[in-house]
Amino acid sequence: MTSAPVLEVRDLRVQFDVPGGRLPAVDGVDLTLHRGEVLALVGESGSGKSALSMSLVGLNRGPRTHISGAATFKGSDLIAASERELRGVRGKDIAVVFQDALAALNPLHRAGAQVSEMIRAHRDMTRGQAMDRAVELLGEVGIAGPDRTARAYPHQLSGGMRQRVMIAMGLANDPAVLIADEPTTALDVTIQAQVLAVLKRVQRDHGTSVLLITHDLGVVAEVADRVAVMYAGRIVEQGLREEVLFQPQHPYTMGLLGSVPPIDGPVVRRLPTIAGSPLTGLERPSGCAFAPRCPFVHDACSERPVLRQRHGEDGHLDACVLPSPARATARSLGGIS
Amino acid sequence: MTAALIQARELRVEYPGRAGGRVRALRDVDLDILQGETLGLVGESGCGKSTLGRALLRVIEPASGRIEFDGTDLTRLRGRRLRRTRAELQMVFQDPFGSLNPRRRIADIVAEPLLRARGATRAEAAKAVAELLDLVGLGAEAGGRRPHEFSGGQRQRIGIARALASSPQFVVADEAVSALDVSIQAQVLNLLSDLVRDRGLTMLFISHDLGVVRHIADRIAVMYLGQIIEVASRDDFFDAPAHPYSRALLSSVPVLRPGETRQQAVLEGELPDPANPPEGCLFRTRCPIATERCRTHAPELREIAPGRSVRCHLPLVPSEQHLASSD
Repeated sequence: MTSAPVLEVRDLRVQFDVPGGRLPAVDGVDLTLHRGEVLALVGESGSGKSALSMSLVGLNRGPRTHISGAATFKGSDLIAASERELRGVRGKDIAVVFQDALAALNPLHRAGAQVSEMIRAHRDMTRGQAMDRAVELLGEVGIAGPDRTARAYPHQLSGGMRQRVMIAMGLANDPAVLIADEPTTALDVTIQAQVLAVLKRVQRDHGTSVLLITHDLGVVAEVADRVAVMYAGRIVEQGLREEVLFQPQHPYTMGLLGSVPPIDGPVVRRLPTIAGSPLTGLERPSGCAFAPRCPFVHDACSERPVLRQRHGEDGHLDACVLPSPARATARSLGGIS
Repeated sequence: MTAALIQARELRVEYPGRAGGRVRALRDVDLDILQGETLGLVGESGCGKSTLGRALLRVIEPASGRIEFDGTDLTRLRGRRLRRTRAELQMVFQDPFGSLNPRRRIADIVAEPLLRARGATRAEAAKAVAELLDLVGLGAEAGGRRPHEFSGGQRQRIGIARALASSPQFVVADEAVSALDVSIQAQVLNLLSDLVRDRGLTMLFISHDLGVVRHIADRIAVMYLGQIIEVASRDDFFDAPAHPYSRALLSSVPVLRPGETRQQAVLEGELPDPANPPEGCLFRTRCPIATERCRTHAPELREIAPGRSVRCHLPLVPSEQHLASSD
């Protein structure tokens, strides 16, 4: 992917005050989103993927949140921006689609009104013009009968329909970046396939850059161009979809991929597992955060590993100090071919 | 052929709908669950799979139909006999946060079915609980703690220990690993399959995740709008599904495989309103191969090969001759 960077995140840290101290939800992340790509941010609960994306648009600011680092978008730093400046960016240049569309939509307003309000918040249009555009957008996200849907209240719509309305709201001002936080997690597979196809079409037709936050590796395989894998607030591996999913380098990525029971191929009696559970407390090891669960841990893991290219192609980065032969063993044990 | 442990016949569940109408959540379901097998029950939200699981345990009262278990009709049991029989039938829930009473100690939560349904003494229960907590990998010392001290995966192990406490013959696991992260999900799946094998359990495993179902189930049943539309062995089902809906469901699952990504949705439209289902075949409004006959004639669930049934006029797998002739 050689196209221009749209969003550049440098040394981002997000810490939450919790009883007993500060929880390092995002612990020094560098990340670049390029024009027109779908970048998937993958991780398990508590890995910091949502904290990262919400801090980009200032949605988790507050007295108990400490954010540092930089996120450069169109020449300005989103982390340093005032709430007033962010209000001009959110919904216009950077839009967010949440997992739970029923909670994110206003239950008292019709779907069409919510989309058209989003347009009018950032553009000089009459109500009528904005409503026409809203109906058009509802059609673009694959809603059959957009006129009828525009008149419906959120509770009258199915989960898949509500998620499309959310995406239409996201697209209302033709944003450069769409942050989609688990957009299909609450949906059934047949509806998920429909919504993912919509996201993919939006990216292709509008050249929108999508930051897709998900825990589902199948969804990543379906729509991502590039993938960043998060563990305990840090990115442990990053690269093209094909590289990360099919030539994983980090033992955590290997473990994750091995834990997913596939719908074809041989059925194994026991699934490969990652021992232990993800870090949830305040403590972080000074070295590799995955070391306490890693079957290949050794002395060198006590120093914090840098995310860099250690093998293979340019742009395929990982944060594991294991030498290559040990990784090959790790892959075979993790059930990754 | 293994005998059926549970036989549901014409099982019907209805909920009150709008304007005094009745919404049919289960439409005369016939289903056999064989002794010692794990039957995977799949389908999308609202298809009735949880309702079926709960109706089999009489957590939900069926409007009509029979449930044969061990020679008795569960739907007719009352009072003490029902309570005793319930010891044989247990459930593991999806939500490891909502299904455990936060104010009680783990040992009390796990012991409850033993005390209530089996009439065990306190001492007997305490001993059994310690063993169970060891069995699910938490250790006996977990008994003195309370639910909030445990992670989601650990709570699910507690739920499993509780379900096994009364030594049931039959367990319904309703989306039992769906709320867990994938690395934890694999641990709990391995635990469940070990327990099923070691204790000779019969299990109805309800899940929307076809990869998980394929991993754990011996046979698969698919539901759509309150009906069973296909029953097949795991390998038959995943190699060549016979119902067009089963095929659509399978091909909607994102696959981790190198190569081109799919960009076309495989199934148009959404689940019809169960209060106002289509005439004829319930799937025909979304079916890519539906014909006039599908509109006028509702298909029956019929056997197209030994151990394989499908509710479709145009099954994707050819019927075997000797069976097809009886149709």
